[in-house]
Amino acid sequence: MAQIVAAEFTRFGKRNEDIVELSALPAIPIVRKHRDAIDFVVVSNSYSGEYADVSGLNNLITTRLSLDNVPSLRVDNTSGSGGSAILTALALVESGIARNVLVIGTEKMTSGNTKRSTRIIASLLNNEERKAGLSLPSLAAFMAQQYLEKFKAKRESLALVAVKNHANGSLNPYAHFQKPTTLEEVMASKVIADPLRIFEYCPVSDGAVAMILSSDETAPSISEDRIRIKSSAMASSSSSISFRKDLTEIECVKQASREAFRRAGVSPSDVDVAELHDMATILEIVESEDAGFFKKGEGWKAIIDGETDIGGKLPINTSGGLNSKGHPIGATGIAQAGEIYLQLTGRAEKRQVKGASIGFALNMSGFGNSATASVFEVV
Amino acid sequence: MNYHSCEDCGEKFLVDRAFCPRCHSERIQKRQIETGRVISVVHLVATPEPYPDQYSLVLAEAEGVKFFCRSTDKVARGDPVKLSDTDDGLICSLQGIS
Repeated sequence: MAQIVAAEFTRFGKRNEDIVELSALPAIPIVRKHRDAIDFVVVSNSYSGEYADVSGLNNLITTRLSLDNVPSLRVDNTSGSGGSAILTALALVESGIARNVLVIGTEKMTSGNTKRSTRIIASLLNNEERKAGLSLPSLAAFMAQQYLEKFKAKRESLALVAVKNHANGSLNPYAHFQKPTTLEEVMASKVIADPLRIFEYCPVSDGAVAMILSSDETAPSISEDRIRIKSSAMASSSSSISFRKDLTEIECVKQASREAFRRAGVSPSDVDVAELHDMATILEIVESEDAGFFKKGEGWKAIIDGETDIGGKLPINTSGGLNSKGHPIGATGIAQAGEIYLQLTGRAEKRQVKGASIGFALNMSGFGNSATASVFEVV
Repeated sequence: MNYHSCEDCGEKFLVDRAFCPRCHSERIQKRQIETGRVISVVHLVATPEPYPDQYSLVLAEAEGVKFFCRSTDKVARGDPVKLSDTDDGLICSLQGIS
């Protein structure tokens, strides 16, 4: 078992720092306090080569932080890099290789235009599918079409995910978008991939987040504000999207979530606050079902009924989610765990879920190519 | 357009693999198809480099294999389409379908 004992954020959005400077930024206050305790650094990042012409990012960051002699590695698993980095840090701590791992999630994406970014992200697809001109956002549109038809869901339920997450993002000082929106504004925004509109997709953002993951033995000496990672489980699906039987469910999300809950010994109904991987609005709904929070085909009703609002039965994406907070690829999974840290330690300010003691985070690579589900509890 | 078929169990799949995803046989054959039927269509206006600025993406099926292609025709669910594997990617069209 391991605990998160500190988390620091940069605001997501367009940032002027280069990738090394940006990555170091949230780690500086942590290193200032805990320099001597940090014995490993894990960096979650996927596209430093493509966007910034940088390789070996982890070692450049440790030098920037004058942690030159602390071993480090970089975890790349596209959008799921953060969840994978936490899993890696957990393995380091649980195996006894490290006691206090500095985990940094980081990405710099705004240097290219949208068409270039869409190409970079689409490079995770198999060539046999990519060469049709597929993009990740277009896959979400296929999913949305099929979901709406199969479950006779109301179209506005998808848009209401964006309304909720923009409202939450407006309460989060680290979010890219900090302005609420309305159903009318979402439905009047530009169609990107029919039927989904621009307000229903995450923006292209830069950003970095840092945290320390410590062993149960050393954690008390680091901080009083701690949460325990009760479990973290990863599952994989085919990278060939056309090979999947049904686009309205994500098999690896089901498996990872089921396993995470089993290992943690809690059930989905015990969760007080959850962060899901809403690259597009439809994904939040599908994942909320596949993670076990709602019956299949009924997640859209929970949105309409306000069950996933702050103050609802199960607040989802209190941070604003990828939709409003932004999705700097390598930073996302760390930011999700970071939001749960703030919520469970009672430091989420205006978006605080009262009395939250059990949290859940789901980070996904590709288009459900893999998923890491984690269950957290307050210490 | 090519897909793959396992000579031992008959499993069909689009993406090239070293082993059959069902029985793990290494006896895999390439098959060619020229026509398919549309399952669903997404009109995309934020496209990746190096492709045109807008087009329809088509999820189609042929001989039990699903695949994605691109079209500038007004294709709809159930339409038969002709497939061409070009230097610019996999294109499908209503042309030449009677």
